[in-house]
Amino acid sequence: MGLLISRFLALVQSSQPCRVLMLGLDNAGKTTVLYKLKLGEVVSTIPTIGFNVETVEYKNISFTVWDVGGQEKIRPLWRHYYQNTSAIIFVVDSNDPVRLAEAREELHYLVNSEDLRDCPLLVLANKQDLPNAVTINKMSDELQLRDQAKNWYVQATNAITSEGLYEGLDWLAREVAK
Amino acid sequence: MPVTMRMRLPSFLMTGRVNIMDGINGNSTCVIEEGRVQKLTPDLKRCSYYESCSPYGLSVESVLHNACSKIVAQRLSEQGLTSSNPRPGTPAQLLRYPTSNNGHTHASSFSTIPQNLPNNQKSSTGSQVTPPVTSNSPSHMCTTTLSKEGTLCASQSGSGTELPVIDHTDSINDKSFKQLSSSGPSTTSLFMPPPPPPKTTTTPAITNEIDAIQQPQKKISNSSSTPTTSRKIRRISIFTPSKKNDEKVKRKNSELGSGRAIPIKQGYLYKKSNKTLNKEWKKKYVTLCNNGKLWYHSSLNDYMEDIHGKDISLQYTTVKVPGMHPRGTKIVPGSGGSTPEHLTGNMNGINLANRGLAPIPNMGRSSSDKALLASCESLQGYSGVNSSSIKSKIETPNAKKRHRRRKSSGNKSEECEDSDGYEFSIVSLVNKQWHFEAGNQEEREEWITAIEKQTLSSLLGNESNKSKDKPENPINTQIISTIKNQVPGNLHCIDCSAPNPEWASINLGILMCIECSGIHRNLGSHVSKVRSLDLDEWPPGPLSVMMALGNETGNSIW
Repeated sequence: MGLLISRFLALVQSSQPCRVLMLGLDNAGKTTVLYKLKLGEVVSTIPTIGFNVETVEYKNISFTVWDVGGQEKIRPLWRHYYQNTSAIIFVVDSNDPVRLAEAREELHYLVNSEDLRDCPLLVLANKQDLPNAVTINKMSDELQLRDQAKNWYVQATNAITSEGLYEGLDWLAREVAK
Repeated sequence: MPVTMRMRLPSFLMTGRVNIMDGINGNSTCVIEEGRVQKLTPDLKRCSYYESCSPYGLSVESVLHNACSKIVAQRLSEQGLTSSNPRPGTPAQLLRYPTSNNGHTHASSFSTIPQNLPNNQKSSTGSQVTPPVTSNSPSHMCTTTLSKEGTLCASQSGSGTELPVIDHTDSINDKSFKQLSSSGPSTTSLFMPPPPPPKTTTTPAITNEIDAIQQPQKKISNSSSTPTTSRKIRRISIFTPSKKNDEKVKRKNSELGSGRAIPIKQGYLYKKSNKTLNKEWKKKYVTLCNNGKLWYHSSLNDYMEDIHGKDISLQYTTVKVPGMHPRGTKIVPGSGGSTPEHLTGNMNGINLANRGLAPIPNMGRSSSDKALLASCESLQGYSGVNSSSIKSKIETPNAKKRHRRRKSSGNKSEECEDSDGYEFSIVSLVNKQWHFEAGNQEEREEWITAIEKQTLSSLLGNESNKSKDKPENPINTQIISTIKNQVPGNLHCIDCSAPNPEWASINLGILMCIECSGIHRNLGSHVSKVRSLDLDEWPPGPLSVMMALGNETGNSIW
């Protein structure tokens, strides 16, 4: 009986679902972020061909996070995942300043697409622990975020230690709940 | 598995015989030896002889397609040419297509062999098929052999149509075909409408060997335009299980001949019902096709009939295994510096397909245990016996999965404990899920590997479609193949020596496998910048670095 009640309560209190698309250039750290959030552990990853998907419960929101491979030739496939997306997480490798321009192009293509018009954008400036990492200030400039109409937020992260990840999710949860 | 199927005319003899070769190697030998096969053909007097290979698929379709069109042609010509025309026997034709793949012999061929037909037979069934209608032709056998290497030889023999099978075998210097012809005839005979009696007895046999089977029809028309023969129709052969009536046979025939996708892997799996209330596990006949689709039918029979089937398009899917970490990944204690020592040689066969695709973690298990177990397992070799599945086996050593699952079916909270079954699920990009369960660990691994391969290849196919507006630089493709094959040391991964590495470090100028590329990525882009040879665009700069360096140079430095 108690089991029944608890299950009933769980149904009533079930968290709000939210489809989150996590994109970024190859080797930005998307898969590592995903499994750090899901498992709380660091997994050694290999390049993602296709995608990974996990549900992460946070602040009573059930984030279904889609982590799609970022190699150049499979980026055109990203658009297939746009539909019904509530939020975008864009992961950038801060330690690779040379590719920031490439990241900017992809990001701008994303935010200008019709399907993702109302989605808040969380940019994770990942790998902040590495020697060549750029600051989030420089990152915002490089990605030309300041003139974006969209709701955006840049968060410095280190997916290995999970520094910054939950701060980013906090912002996302607030935006989604709006 | 070698199988020979044949058709028998009710009144007299077999019309055709198909020898199906499913690839023969040292491990799978023939059930019935060569001699018997060859004996069968003359024994049965009237027989078109076909050889085919179903796993390779191409010849199967063309044999059936051919056979179908022949039967139609026969019927048509029956209407046109009644009893007055002289009807010589069928010329023989052999189209041979040897191919080989991964050490398996996938030889496929298609041949028909004329047999003289007694004139006094009478048909006993309603429908009739006309016999081959060809012109009179010299009674010698002409064998044209175009071997794989492109050499052409022709031979003639005066043996007429006696035992042409042997002629075929003799004309072949290809090992795979020897193996082919050593396959055994088996069991199936089916009843076909009997043809009216043919009138002449001598026919030439023409053997054409070609490398590809793309246009068998064309080849046949070519051969019929040769001076020695003009042949309009051909005996048909079909492979279906026995005791099917004509109509059924016809239908299946056309179905297969018209190009149903070739199954790569098929078998029974349990599938969890998607219904909200009754989450039963039902046995399904699952077929993985080479067009990137996974079909499931409720029975083999339904599959054969091609009814009540459902398909999953694999292009935008990923495979998950409950209770396991993402494939190709493992828990890294601390900050995650893993070393190539874990990458041993046992990944050779599957390194392409096992890409980090499939997680469903079990939240309940303690991370320290996993880390401990993960640290002593190698990436690939023990991926089947992952840490969590070891644990669950310990917990439920003799669990009767089926029973247990029935009890817990519909109970969401137990989902994570279900990892002791050999389950896997396919998730589409709209989060639709299909749950399957295999009979054992190996079977599950095989299915997952095969499905992921299909997903990857349909992704690559898609990407090549997309890049049409931005056409790929052919010079790049050429340079990349040079980098792969001709730069010293690049045939093997620089760290673990796995063959055919497809990932590169553009600043170190080396090639590696996907697992080692994960490790390089982990070092940070200031140490090694990893790109895929196939999935990334290559500007000229990195290409010249790759050309200049290479694994041999790389290993001499680092």
